[in-house]
Amino acid sequence: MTRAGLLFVGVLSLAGCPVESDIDPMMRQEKMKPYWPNDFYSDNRAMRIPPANAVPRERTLAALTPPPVTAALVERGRERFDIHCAVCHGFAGDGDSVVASKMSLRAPPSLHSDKLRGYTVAQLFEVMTQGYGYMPKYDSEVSVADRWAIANYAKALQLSQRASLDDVPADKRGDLDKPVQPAGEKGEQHGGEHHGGTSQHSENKE
Amino acid sequence: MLLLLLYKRTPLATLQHEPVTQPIEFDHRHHVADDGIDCRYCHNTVETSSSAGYPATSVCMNCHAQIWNQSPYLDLVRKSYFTGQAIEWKKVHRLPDFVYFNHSIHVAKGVGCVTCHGRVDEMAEIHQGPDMQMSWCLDCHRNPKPNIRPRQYITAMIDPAPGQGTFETHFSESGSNTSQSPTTMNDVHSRTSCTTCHR
Ligand code: HEC
Ligand code: HEC
Ligand code: HEC
Ligand code: HEC
Ligand code: HEC
Repeated sequence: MTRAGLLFVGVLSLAGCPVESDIDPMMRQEKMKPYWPNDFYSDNRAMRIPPANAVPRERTLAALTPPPVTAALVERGRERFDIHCAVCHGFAGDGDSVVASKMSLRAPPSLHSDKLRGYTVAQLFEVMTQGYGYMPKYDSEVSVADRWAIANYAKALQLSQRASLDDVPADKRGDLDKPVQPAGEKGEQHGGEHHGGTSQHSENKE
Repeated sequence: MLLLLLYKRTPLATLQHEPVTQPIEFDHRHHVADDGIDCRYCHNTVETSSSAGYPATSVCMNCHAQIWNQSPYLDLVRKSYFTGQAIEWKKVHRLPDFVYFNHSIHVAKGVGCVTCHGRVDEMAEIHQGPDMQMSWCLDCHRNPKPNIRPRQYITAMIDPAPGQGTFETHFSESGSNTSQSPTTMNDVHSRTSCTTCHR
């Protein structure tokens, strides 16, 4: 697998550097840091591109086998889904998002169709890794471990959207009358909802 | 020399409020506020490395292969994508090279982007909010508590309620168990030794 995504990383131009660089050699040193330009290399980037077909050391066979499903894994999957997937697929996975509404060719489908409910965790992993139709691949942005986490969360999300009261353990059913705790992640960028999320969070702790 | 020192602290030299003209009119207001894209979708190394990182051109194309795919505003993005030539974003923030800074620790301990970068979701062009002088770092490092938030709100652009304290006071005033306060949950310490930032 090549990491094509990394090929096109931006390089910074330091043209706007303030004058002090002329004054103090400690201020601007002859070294490289991520994303800096460097004219030692012909493409002017300090960050080098791995040779074709290089594989990161941490990508072992073990990493490519599905990990055991734990609550922590699904929780991690939820966080990563909300960052990387929800922008297009919607927080509920139903394909309802601002970005999707602006797509000119084909918008993402709902994850709750019968076809996609039939997908296994490994198939979902594969879609993230290889891309599917107009969906680009996410192998360079989302780590292998996180792709497994997201795939498992997506399965949980599918279950949640067609859950009935019978799926709720008897001793938890009483909780359903309580006001729904808005997921903070969803309202993150927006003030109002976010505040609500926090105060309820602390109430529940009591 | 004195003149130089003074000059260093004027907003001109601290880069504060100085808008930078970028090669592409990329607008955080549209992407963050309108489209609801999390900072980490684009700045995806912010939790794991010292640099927050700039998105690869392919990240822009994730959406722009379908959205505004004819727009002249995006000519440079498509050119970069097809030629592999990097987009030369101009750096807005830049600490002196003798300072060691690391995003991942701040994010892991619960310092939100908004605390250091301001309301990025309201900036057409990014400009530096605080002066980012040593005193600014130290003001927080001496007593980080008021600036710590629960980790799930790391990219949220505001504090619990505008003008109504911080996440920390929020937790203590609501009478909730203080062992749940963000500072204790994230095990946050004061760090003021010179070698923290000069190593
Ligand atoms: C759609 C992708 C995208 C998203 C989402 C995004 N950014 Fe950016 N960001 C960029 C690009 C591209 C640049 C470089 C161009 C520029 O400075 O405007 C940048 C630059 C920046 C800079 C200035 C970096 C410098 O050169 O010093 C900061 C600070 C920043 N972003 C913070 C944020 C924060 C905080 C969020 C979330 C609220 C966010 N960004 C969301 C793409 C994005
Ligand atoms: C998750 C999807 C997504 C990603 C990733 C994304 N954009 Fe956008 N971008 C949009 C949408 C949606 C619009 C249209 C906004 C509108 O119509 O109001 C847009 C609009 C724009 C515009 C038009 C001017 C404006 O701001 O409205 C530019 C330029 C642009 N994007 C540049 C970029 C660049 C450069 C990147 C990569 C760093 C990027 N975009 C990444 C979704 C995205
Ligand atoms: C403790 C303060 C602090 C926090 C919190 C913080 N930043 Fe930064 N950020 C900085 C400083 C300082 C720089 C300049 C670093 C340099 O010049 O080496 C910077 C630089 C950047 C850059 C330019 C690239 C780089 O890493 O140099 C981006 C992009 C960025 N920040 C995004 C973010 C995002 C997104 C978040 C939230 C997830 C965030 N920052 C949280 C202080 C902070
Ligand atoms: C708003 C608060 C805040 C600001 C502003 C801030 N920091 Fe920090 N910083 C923290 C916290 C909290 C920690 C984590 C301390 C701990 O618990 O270990 C930290 C940790 C660090 C560490 C890692 C310390 C270690 O022991 O490894 C470095 C390096 C650092 N900060 C550098 C800086 C620099 C340089 C600046 C200014 C450009 C800065 N910080 C501004 C809150 C802040
Ligand atoms: C929390 C991080 C942090 C700690 C701790 C820290 N510094 Fe700094 N220091 C900075 C930053 C950031 C700058 C650069 C400010 C600028 O000019 O933009 C700086 C600049 C300096 C400078 C150059 C000042 C100038 O005006 O050019 C000196 C000298 C210095 N520090 C000494 C120290 C000493 C001595 C200590 C220990 C007592 C210390 N620093 C602790 C972050 C830190």
